[in-house]
Amino acid sequence: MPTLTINGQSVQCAEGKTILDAARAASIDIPTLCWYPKLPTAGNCRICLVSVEGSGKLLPSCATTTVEGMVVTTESDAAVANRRGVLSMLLERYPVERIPADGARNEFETLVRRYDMPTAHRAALPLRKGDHRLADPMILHDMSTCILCTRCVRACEDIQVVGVLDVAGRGADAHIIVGAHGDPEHAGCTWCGECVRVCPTGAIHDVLPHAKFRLDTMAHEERVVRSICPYCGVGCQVDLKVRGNDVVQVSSPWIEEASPSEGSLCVKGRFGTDFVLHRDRLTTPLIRRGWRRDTAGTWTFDASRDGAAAFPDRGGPWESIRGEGGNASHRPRTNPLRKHHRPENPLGDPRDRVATPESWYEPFRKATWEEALELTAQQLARVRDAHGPDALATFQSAKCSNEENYVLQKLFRAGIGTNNVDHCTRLCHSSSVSAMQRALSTSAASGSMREVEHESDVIFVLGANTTESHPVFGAAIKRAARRGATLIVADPRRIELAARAHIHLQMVPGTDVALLNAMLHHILEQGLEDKAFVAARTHGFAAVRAAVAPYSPEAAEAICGVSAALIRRAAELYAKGPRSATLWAMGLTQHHTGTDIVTSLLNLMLACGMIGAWGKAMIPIRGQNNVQGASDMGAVPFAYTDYQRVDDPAVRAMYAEAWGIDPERLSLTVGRKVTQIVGADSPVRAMYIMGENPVISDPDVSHAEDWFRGLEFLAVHDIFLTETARYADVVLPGAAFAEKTGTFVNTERRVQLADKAVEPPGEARADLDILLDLSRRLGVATPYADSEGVQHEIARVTPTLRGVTHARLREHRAGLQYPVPDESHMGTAFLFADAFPTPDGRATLVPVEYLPPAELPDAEYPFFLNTGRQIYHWHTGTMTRRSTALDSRESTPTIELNPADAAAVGVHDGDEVVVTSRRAHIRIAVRISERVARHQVFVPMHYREAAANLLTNPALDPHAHIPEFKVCAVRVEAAAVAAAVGG
Amino acid sequence: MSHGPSASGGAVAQPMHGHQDEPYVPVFTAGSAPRAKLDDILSRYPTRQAGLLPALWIVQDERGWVSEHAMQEVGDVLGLTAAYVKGVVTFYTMYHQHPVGQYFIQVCTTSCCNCMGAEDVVKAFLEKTGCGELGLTSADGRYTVIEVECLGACGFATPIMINNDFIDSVSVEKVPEILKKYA
Ligand code: SF4
Ligand code: SF4
Ligand code: FES
Ligand code: FES
Repeated sequence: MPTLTINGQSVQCAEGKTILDAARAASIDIPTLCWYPKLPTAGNCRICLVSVEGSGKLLPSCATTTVEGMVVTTESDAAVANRRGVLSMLLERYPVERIPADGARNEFETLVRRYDMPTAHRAALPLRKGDHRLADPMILHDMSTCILCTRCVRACEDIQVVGVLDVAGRGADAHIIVGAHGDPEHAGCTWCGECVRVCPTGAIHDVLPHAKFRLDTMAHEERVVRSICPYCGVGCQVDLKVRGNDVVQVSSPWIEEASPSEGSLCVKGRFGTDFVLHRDRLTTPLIRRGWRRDTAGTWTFDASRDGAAAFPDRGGPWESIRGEGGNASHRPRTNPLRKHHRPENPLGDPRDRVATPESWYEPFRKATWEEALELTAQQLARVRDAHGPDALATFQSAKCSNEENYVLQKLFRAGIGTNNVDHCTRLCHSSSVSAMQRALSTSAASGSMREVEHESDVIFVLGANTTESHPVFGAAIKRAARRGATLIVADPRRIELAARAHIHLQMVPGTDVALLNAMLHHILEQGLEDKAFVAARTHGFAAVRAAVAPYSPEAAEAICGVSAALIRRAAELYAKGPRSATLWAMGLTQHHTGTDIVTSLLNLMLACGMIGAWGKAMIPIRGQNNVQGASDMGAVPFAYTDYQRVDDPAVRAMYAEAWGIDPERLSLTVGRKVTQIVGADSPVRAMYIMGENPVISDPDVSHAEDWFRGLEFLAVHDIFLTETARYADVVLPGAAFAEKTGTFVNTERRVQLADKAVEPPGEARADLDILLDLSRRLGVATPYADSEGVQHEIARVTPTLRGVTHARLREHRAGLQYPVPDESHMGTAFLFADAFPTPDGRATLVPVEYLPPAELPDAEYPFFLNTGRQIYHWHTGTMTRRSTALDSRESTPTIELNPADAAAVGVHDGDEVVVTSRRAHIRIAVRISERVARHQVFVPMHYREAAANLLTNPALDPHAHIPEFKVCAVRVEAAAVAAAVGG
Repeated sequence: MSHGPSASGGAVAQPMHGHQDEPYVPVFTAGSAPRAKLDDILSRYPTRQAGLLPALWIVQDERGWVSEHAMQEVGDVLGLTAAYVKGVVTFYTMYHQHPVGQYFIQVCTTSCCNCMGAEDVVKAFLEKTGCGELGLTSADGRYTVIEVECLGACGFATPIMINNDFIDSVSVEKVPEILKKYA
């Protein structure tokens, strides 16, 4: 622990720290330009030089290690003279005329002012140049202000691990380049904007969300509000810069602040939130024509009035998803390949892009809140009284806060009396939950993202395209690989992580159980299992040993198409760790054998003892920003908050008491799941859907669409008139993420608080407000004024969240990882060090057998169809397709086709093909890609006009009822050929 | 890193992206001689990155210059980013970023040689090759002439290099004779 003196002040710091580190820790400010926290030190700008006694020359404080007794002066005459020299050299090539007379626009200019540099005249030297990003809708370059600090280069290379930027030339000719060709697309840019964040001059800057603000007004927001990115489960924090009632810029928190993303964002978080400003936002409640209130105050529907007859069966003047998927005639004929795509007006106002056709509003009339809520409450009550509580159901929302989800499930449980409460977790990680519940009695990740980044020796990633679906976590995994962690990726596609992995297990889709059983087989054969862990902490090992015995690597090779040698190597690496992390996502779960697949992975993990220690993280990577929280809040048919079972009378009694109602009002029957609610034999006749779009997200959507039209009553609560909302009787305009306060839980159990930045547009209301109003109308007590009050009630009934309050979350901005048992507890970064939350504290291994996917390719349908996400879009596209920036990157649906298959089908990049499954067909453009293996195709799920889920197979996992989104069989034909044969 | 005026009077290279070699034909295709040569070189180093300069030489030997497509290819082959490769290519003066003549003539014009008439030698080359201007390639595609800094042969002014050949004591009179050998 060297002690040194800086500016006369005695300062102690840890061994190996630099003078700059020591000074910063003591709040002594030394100017820096090329240095940036967490980036490798470049030491090239020389602005940070300080005087050190006994040293003949000035020393760079960012690159000089402290030694005991050092005496440092940061603003000595010599240091200041040097700084002014550095600044004057930089100013020679800087557009000084743009520096405002009375101030500074950026970090560099702040230093120019601080050292009182003359800026009246520009030296007769040319300004710097560099590669441009012409017409880029998100990131622009003005390299005349570049000072070549190379922060952007290092941020791209060392934080995001992409390496788009570098310095070319040398000396006076040095300049920043974008790849070799000056083309970010070609260079692999993902538009994360990390370069924007670190640039000290604005040479690399962002295009502001809803207007072309001049650079010099950029800093002039009125307030900054901390919120949470509305997309994935990483839960990155965002700073919303607000002027008036507009979010004018989104940025990430300072890199040194503790947050799950450590100040990074991906393209969606930084540039994809302009949907909030979109003209399509719903601003008043809508009621379907034909509904009227009589003088007694009763609402009735009569198709013969108000023009309702034009829209029978709750329809409208639109094409069904099925109709649209098969008919490409009205689609813009742009070349679908983004490398050729140039939006006409990249800087345009997003509100000019209208994604909801005007005609969709025709079946509706504007209504007051009183009308809309009265009608909704009346109809929900009527259906309950006429057909019983179980004739009602709600889809809650993984996009809404804990508080909102809590109040909605309470409304349905206490107000209606049914457990028909579910949300999209059913379609993503329900099989993980059923497998983890059975094995470990848990429903969430055991560890944290940071331990994977910094501690794990081996990282096993299965069926998770993290660099696209969870980009900030993806970057952390890439950093881990760079620090030396071994990366093993199991995925049918050669995704970015697979290409970087030490081992890529590129198996035939849906053969995971065979692969994982074979890995365990080999581990047991080699005696590599963790015998002590198995003996002390598990049950059922013998049965699993017997079950995997037939799965030799050779047997698995025949099934999965992965060589036995590779299976063996992966198994050994994983088992030997010493600390292996286990991460997975939809690639494992969305199968009709999803629970078995996850179980086989948990068996492997438990046999090797890879859980319960720092670095041995088990993380089912969560998709939505609050899918974990919604599940925790009881938006699942089997449990109240904290997975407390609804069929347990003791639990029911506890809730009845907490809610001040008669226990008899709460049902003891487990409710129906999403995939059981929507279906021919479902008894459900009325629904309340909050922030979900099942008409696109359910499997085999043409059936789903018909089913929703057959309901007696449908209320949809959303921010846009979605494909589902258009079939509603009542549409309730809610608030977008920036317009409300609430808590969210990320994929590592971290509860974080998002604050409200702006008011919802028009008459739209905060979601909680709407739900509380409706609750009161249905006789549910709502003893709280705001989300903070709701959180108090949640804490009371939820043991793991007992210590969580808004006040604490405001104080600990990084959030608290539950369990947080009391108000002094700081949260739990990893779980199960000593025991699992099972009755006897032991985990259970469950033998599972390989079963092939429910539908396999055959002569008629020769391709495997895989579905999933793209980096620039999100789920049903409701938000991202209304983001100018994101939609400009991927504006057209495409199918990924292997070059050899494309040649066989006879199509080129950009050609249109017809993709047909046993259920429906879609027309879609080809993107030739080496990422997909032969005889496999990939269709993203985001596009209404070519909905992947028209094709998918609704085969369900027997335990979790998750559909098999990841495998079905299709035929791919060139559009011209298909037309000729009548396709 | 210098932020001051450059020796050449402050001209900053305009970043330029040319694709004169489109469609690009890769150099290091599997089974090719350049590939074999590179693999041999790589076998001598602990990291693939170490093969960067030799790989660029191979490209230049094969194609006469290093295009942006080639930088991308070298990056892909060695596991480096294209931007990094370009940073290296543009750092050194001996890699050509544009097509050059079949014979690349470098004439020393640093002070010692200058005193001994190097400027005239340069003029003679420009004239006799038909290049006309420094850095331009003659119409027949055979020659490019440039000035270089000290070639370390000050006692034998004026030294030149034609591709990899070193020739000293060049005078204006000798130019036609030399060019006959490189026709
Ligand atoms: S663009 Fe910005 S971050 Fe990059 S080198 Fe120039 S000044 Fe530094
Ligand atoms: S990684 Fe996820 S949470 Fe973070 S910015 Fe991107 S979409 Fe948002
Ligand atoms: S900040 Fe230390 S040299 Fe640039
Ligand atoms: S000055 Fe020409 S060789 Fe040295």
